[in-house]
This record gives sequence, structure tokens and C-alpha cells, in this order.
Amino acid sequence: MSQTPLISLVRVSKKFGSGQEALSEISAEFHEGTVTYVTGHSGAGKTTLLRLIFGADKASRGKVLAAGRDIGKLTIAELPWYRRNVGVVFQNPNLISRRSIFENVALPLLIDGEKLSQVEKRVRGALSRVHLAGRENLFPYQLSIGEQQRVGLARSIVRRPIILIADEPTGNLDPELSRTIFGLLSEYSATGAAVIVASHDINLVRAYKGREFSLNQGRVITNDE
Amino acid sequence: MKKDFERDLFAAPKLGRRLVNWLRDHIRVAHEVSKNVSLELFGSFLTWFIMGLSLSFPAGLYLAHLNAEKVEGLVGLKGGVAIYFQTGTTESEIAIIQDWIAQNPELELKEIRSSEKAFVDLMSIISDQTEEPSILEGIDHTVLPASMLVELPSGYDERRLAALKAEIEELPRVDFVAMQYEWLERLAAFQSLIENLWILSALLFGLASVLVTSISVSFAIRSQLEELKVFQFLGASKRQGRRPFIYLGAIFGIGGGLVALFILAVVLSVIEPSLSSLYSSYGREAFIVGFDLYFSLILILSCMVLGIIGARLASGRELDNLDDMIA
Repeated sequence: MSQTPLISLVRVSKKFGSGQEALSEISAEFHEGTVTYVTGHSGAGKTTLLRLIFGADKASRGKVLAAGRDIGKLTIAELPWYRRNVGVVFQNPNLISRRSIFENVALPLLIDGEKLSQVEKRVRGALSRVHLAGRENLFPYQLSIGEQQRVGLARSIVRRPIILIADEPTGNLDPELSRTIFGLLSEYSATGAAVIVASHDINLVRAYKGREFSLNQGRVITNDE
Repeated sequence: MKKDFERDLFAAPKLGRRLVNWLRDHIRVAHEVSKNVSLELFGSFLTWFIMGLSLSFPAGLYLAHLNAEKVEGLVGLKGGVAIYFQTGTTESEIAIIQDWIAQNPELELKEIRSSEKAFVDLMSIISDQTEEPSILEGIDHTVLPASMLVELPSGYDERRLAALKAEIEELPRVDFVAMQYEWLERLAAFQSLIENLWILSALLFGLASVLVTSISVSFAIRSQLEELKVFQFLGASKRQGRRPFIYLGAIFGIGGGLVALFILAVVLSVIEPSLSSLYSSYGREAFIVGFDLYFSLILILSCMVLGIIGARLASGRELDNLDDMIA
């Protein structure tokens, strides 16, 4: 693990227009090659935290630093380059229904303008990693929810991102499928990436090796660094 | 794999690599948009038809303007100046004026009428119209002035005409100068009216086309909002998000231009018989000037630009707040 954290939150607060404070004075560090589970009940601020790291929102106070740079101060032109290094998995896999599994997983590489031969190789590699090799030509509606979530995961790792964030990735899945997804996320940290997973399922989180970072009403209650 | 992670999190690739990626992305988008349009041909055709219908009107007026400019040449219409000399002007004095006209390349001498010829012509007219031609017998045949008819090219405005008239009046032995140019002025006013109409209609219908494209592209964006959100969180830039819709606007424009050309071709073929009979009454062959490859390319390109403007407006409006929708 390197000394400099990949992501640092420095006394971060986030207030929405309604005046409700979703995060309050949060400080934390996320290093390469680690898995962090952000836990807490619904409304604890987990999603807000991930959105700040992803650059979809800006902190009202404090700083979110990625490799030492304040994400809140990135220009519109810089933000996409940063996001190309961040894989994202949501509760809803957000697959594009009119595109095949192959095309869905290939999207990040096509956005990057990768060569088609390279795209093919890497898509097959990512699908194989989530145990979906051979399903490339199917469409999302032909897959189960668990398989769709794995396709979402394959799409988020096909670029080999340095940061992988997952927001309730098992929210719609049964316990067995949930374990499969958690296993895959945990495996990905072995590539050297910082994996940050938000989940309300404490039991599931505790079954896997990783750091627990608990939130309650926007405040940190556990940070077992 | 860890080596990959040493790259800068915010660095764009080098310029050469970015150019290649940019080109690949354009090819991918062009291919995808063409495929989508071909799958929804009916919806696209409606937009093309509305654009084509709107733009055929100013384009048709432009053609009318071009052809009105050619009317003078086609039917041999030219302006003229009648110069009347003082009575008793000799042939040698008239020859001096003739030389002056020859030195002016814009003027063309059409006819010289001596006082004797003018008298003979008058006698002929009177004898045709009265039963008593003898009433002019005994009148001095030099009582009528000699005259000269000079042809002017088109394009003389009022100021130049006045200057020319003043110049001729200053010449020796010139008594009176009559300008025969009113009908050309009327034609010029008519041309100016058509010109203003086509420019005005091009602006209005061009604006309408931009709005039509903008609305069509807005609908397309809204129907693909989920997909666009995915693109955004996968790291597509704003430009990449807009790109498919800019292509869509361009395709709408090109289609609209082709429909406008088709409408014009149909209209021209319908009015051709009437034009033929009009032109043949002047002993000329009818043909429409301006409806050629150059005109067609300019029309299609203009429509494409209007389509792109419409798409740009729609994508700017619809995609600005996409980040807030990422959930």
C-alpha cells in the first residue's frame, strides 16, 4: 500500500437545497489495493459519499481529493478523464436494453476510442472474469437480475479502473448472488485498485475481508482503519 | 496490472492518440446514427419533409430572383436613349455625335433618322390613317428634327441615367434627350422585391427549420436519456454526449435539402409548359437558370448547417443537467 491515499475526504460536508445535511464533517482515506465497505441505513449518506468521490456532486464544505487533486475543482473538460479511471456499479445495473451484452460491456472502451481488436479482447476478458463468457450476443432482458448485475460489473472493470465504486450492488439480489458479487468486487482489489462498496447489509459486509466505514445521519460512526 | 495504475488520474492521452480516438469515435457515432435513422425511417422522413417543404419556398424564390435577373437578356430587353437634334443640323454635325457614341463602349448606336426620313415616315403614318394625305403637301420637309436612337445596357441606376442625360444634352446641336428606361426600372423594382422576399423567407423558414430540427432532436434525446446517463458516468465528455445528436441534426438537414430539391424539381417541371409559351412569344427558348449542381450542393449544405444548429440548441438545452440525473 502506498503512503499517499488515492482518495482523501477532508472534513467534507454536503448540504442539499432543502437545507438537509447529508454528510457532516467527514474525513477518510482510501488506498490502492484495499476494499472499503461504506455501511449504514438508508439515508445515512452512503450514496452522497460515492457521488462526491465520483464527481457527480460537489461538497458544500471541505475537499474530496483524488491523487491529491480536489475533484470539486475539476473543469468540465477534466472530469470525463477522471471518470475514465473510476468504475461504477449501481444497484440498478443500468444496462442499455437495445444493445447486446458485448456492446454494453464494450461501451467504456468505445468511448475511449480503443481499437476494435483490443475492445473484443478486453470485453471477453471482463465477461470471463464475472463468469459470463459465451453470453456476449444475448440482450439484457435475456439475463437474470444477478447476471445483469455481473454484466454491470464487467462493464465497470473492462477499462481496469484504479478506483471502483459500487452503490448497493446487491440491493436487488438474493443472498447467494450477493455473495458472488461481493466476491468479485473483493477480487478486483487484488489488481491494486481502491474498491469502495456501499451496502446496508452488515452481515454480508462482515463476511468479507475489508475495512468498514459506517455512517449514520451523515456522520462517521465506525472507521476501522 | 498495477503498472497501469501509475498513470495520472486526470491526464488526457497525447495529442496524436487523442486525434485517432476522436476519429474512431466519429466513425462509430456516424455508423450508429445512420443505423438508427434507417431503423426509424418514417419518423425521420416527417422531419425531412417539413424541412424540405419550408426550405423549398425560399430556394424557389431565389431561383425566381436569378431568373428575373436574366429576363432582360433572354427576351432582348434593353434601355434606350432618343437624341433629338436642333432643326437644320447637318450630317457632319450628326457624325460628331456618332463619333462620341462610338468612343463610349457602353452605348450602342441603333439608328440615325435624318429629318427627311422622319418626314417620310410621318407622311406614311398620316396616309395610313387619313383619307386626305394631301394636307401636308407643301410643308417644308426639314421642319422635323433629325434624331438618333442609342441602346443602353441594363444595370443603369437613376443617378447614372441622369448623369448620362446631362452629358448628352451638353453635346453640340442636341435639342432634347428622351430616356426610355422606365420599364427597366420597373423590372429592377420587381427584382428587388423578389430578392427581399427570398432573403426574408430564407431567414424565416430557416428559423422554422432550426426549430423543427431542434424539436425532433429533443425528442430523440429524451428517448435516449437513460443511455446518455450511462455514457456520462462511463466518462463520455459533453461533446461525446452531443455528438450523435449533431450527426442526427446533420442527417435531418441533408434529408430536408434533398426533399427541397425534389419539390423544386417537381414545381419546375409543372410550370415548364407555361414558361415555354411565354418565352416563345419573345421568340426565345425557355430555360431555367440556376437549378444546377452548384445550387443543389449549396442548398443541401445550408440545410445541413441549419440541422446542426437545431441539434446543437437541443442538445445544449437537454444535456446540460445530465450529471444531476446520475443515480
